[in-house]
Amino acid sequence: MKGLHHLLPPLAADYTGICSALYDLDAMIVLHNPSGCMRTVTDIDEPRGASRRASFFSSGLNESNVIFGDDDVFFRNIVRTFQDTDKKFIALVSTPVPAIIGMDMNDIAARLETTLDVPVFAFNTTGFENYSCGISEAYLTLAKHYLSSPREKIPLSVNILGATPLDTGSDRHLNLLISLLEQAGLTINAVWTMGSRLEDLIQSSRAELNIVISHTALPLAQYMEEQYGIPYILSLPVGMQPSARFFALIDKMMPGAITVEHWAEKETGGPELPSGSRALIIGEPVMSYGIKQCLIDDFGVDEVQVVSLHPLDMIPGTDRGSNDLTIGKEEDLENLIGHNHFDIIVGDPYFRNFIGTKKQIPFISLPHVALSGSEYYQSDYAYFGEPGYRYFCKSLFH
Amino acid sequence: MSPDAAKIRIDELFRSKSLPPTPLQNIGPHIPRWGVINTSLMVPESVGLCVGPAGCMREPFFDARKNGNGTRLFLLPLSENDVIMGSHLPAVKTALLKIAHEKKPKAIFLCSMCVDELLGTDYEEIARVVESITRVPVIAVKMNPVCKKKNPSQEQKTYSFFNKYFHSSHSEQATIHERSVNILGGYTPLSEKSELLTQLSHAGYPVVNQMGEFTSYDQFNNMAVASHNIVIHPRGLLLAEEMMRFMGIPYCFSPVSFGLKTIGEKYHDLEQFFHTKFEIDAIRDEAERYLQENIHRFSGKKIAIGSGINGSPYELAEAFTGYGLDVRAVFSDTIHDYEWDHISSLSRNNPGLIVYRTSHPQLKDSPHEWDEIDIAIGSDAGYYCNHARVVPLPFEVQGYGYEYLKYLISEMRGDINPVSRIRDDDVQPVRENL
Repeated sequence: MKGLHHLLPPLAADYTGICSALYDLDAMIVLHNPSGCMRTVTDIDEPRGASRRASFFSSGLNESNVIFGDDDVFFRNIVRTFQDTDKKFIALVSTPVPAIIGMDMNDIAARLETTLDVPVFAFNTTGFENYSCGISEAYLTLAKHYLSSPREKIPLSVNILGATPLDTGSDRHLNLLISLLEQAGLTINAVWTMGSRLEDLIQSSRAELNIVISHTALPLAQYMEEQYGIPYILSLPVGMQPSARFFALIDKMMPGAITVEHWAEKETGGPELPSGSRALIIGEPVMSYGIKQCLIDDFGVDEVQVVSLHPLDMIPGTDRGSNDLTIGKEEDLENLIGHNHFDIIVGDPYFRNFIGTKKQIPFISLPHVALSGSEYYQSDYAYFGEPGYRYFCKSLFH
Repeated sequence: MSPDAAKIRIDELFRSKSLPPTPLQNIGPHIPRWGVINTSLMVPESVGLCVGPAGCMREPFFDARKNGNGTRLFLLPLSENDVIMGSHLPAVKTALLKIAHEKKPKAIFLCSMCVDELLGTDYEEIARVVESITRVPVIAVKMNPVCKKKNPSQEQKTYSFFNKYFHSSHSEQATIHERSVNILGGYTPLSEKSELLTQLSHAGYPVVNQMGEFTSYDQFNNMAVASHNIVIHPRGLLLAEEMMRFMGIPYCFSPVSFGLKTIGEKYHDLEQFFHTKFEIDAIRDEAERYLQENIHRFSGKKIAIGSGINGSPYELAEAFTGYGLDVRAVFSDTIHDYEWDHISSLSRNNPGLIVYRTSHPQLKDSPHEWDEIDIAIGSDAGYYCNHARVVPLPFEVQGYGYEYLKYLISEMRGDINPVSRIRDDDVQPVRENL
């Protein structure tokens, strides 16, 4: 998003995306920064911090390091600290200051790898881009380093790609998805990257199908398709009928994998919105199109406009509506909401501020950590499967 | 992992004069801070504009929101190319003009980040130009942790930004308010019933200006024409020094303390500063009695003290050691000059006391190091001492003198007895229900 911000913060930064993607992988994650950037990660963007204490480190970069180019100090400090840890790899994550002075993180990474005999990955993030770039880069880096052609596939196995708290929220949402897939008879091979260990990820090329649940994982899915011939679907089972469609799509990709009871369309029997209803969804694009399908199929909404926080290029044209757009400036969103009629708005609670006091529009909150940080992380909401349907139903009709 | 590299005995600290070095740092929510934005927004009727990389904008946004200041903050994320080429400056100027025109603030602070500091971007000039157009004071401030190791500290520099407001106001106001006092260094005001305010009033100083208590910009600027400054926390020292240098306002550094003897000394310093005699004996006797009645409750308890308290962890450790309590650990990342006297005392009276470097990465992997600690004072101490009862004593709670000691003891007991003022217009953070 460009221009002046007043109601919304910028999305989580690219270096946050790296940290989030690598959080569960027993890595030594070193932010090369003056400490402020790390506070943003640990205090705001990483909701799992308090409970699991991931291994984030800050280089404590200062003005003198910058002026004198003390790369050797940084190098020695990492060596010294790594020797006291038991980590599987090191991630060097750049931030605005090293980016602006053109510090060569790749060179430091190469020297560390030689000295410590451990994989060291350099991420030349800048802090000027958002988390999406960071997650995508982290996924691709891991895949290129660790994945190899499998000797054999694991029958009926799938990977879930794109799970981080920044887009997915807490692990209870992910667990619900996993449970739906397992009930349908599928085996979860690896989840990129919540809950799975590095050893699980290394086995990813043995899966028969990749399920992409966030746009951040599309480059990884495309890479795995090219390298290992694993097809992917870009879909979320939000609500009741879209869940059936989701399983029908999987069955199409893996014929006979899913029993008919899971993909047969079910009548919800629940209430529907009046004819002519219009909805606005603001958020991550894959999630937004999942919700769009739910509003149309489960609740009879006639027209749904999606305002994406990210470019829509990667979304298949069949899903996209003619009015769908990528958010430009805060004032554009204010104008859109102020000058158009919507019967429902769905999005992070921060978007509620755009409705103003004059309009009474039902608002369905779907917290998005990449936007509002950890504030609503533990809130009581759902979107996958039947619990998702119930949450939407409750929000719309009570 | 053992935390050996992250700790030092207090007597060794006194000899070596330095905390254990941190090869890398563990920075997180356990290290409390107030932040540049919330300090700047203490100026009533002001608004802020932060400019820099998008990633740097989230911290000020959430800081301001947490303190109920979200509606007064604007952010202008910049592109990398614009920053490198210096082509972002027209956009900054346009944003300032738009904010000044639409929000009609009494003052604007323009906050830049590390990258502009390194590139030497001249925000002072933009501030001057916009100020000349709008006639609204525009103050350039910096959120640049890349410079944090310089002396004065980042915290002191941030607090001293107020001087820029005061300086022009001082020139405009003809008369000094002869018997008015500023209290500097705090983030929230003392209670109206505070013993310090009462003593000052009895001594003929009924007007006491405190950071965080004003609702209007004009009231705030009265601080520029006060006759005396009292500094109750070292973060206010640089501001006091600048106000003395540029406005001739003398100051007395009299930091918050918890030892009965030290509190007495601080009041004595203030008596000399104001050429007066406080009627403080009865208050001291009452505090001493309260202490005697309650201190036995903590006998045998092992105590850790963090630097997240609104005071000095070393002074508090010295005080508690003097009261016969068992202080085992101090968590600290920086040492202020005035704290060396307390460290010296501790090195004689409690030489086995261990000081842990709060940001040292080895601490977070040593969860059992503090299993025996019963009471952790300060949120940073509480973060590490998993089995201890935590008494936060945060920056938001401002007390002074004997009553602050009583407040701490009552907090340790579990009583509730507010010492700092809650303004009517204090706004809680917005928390929408889903």
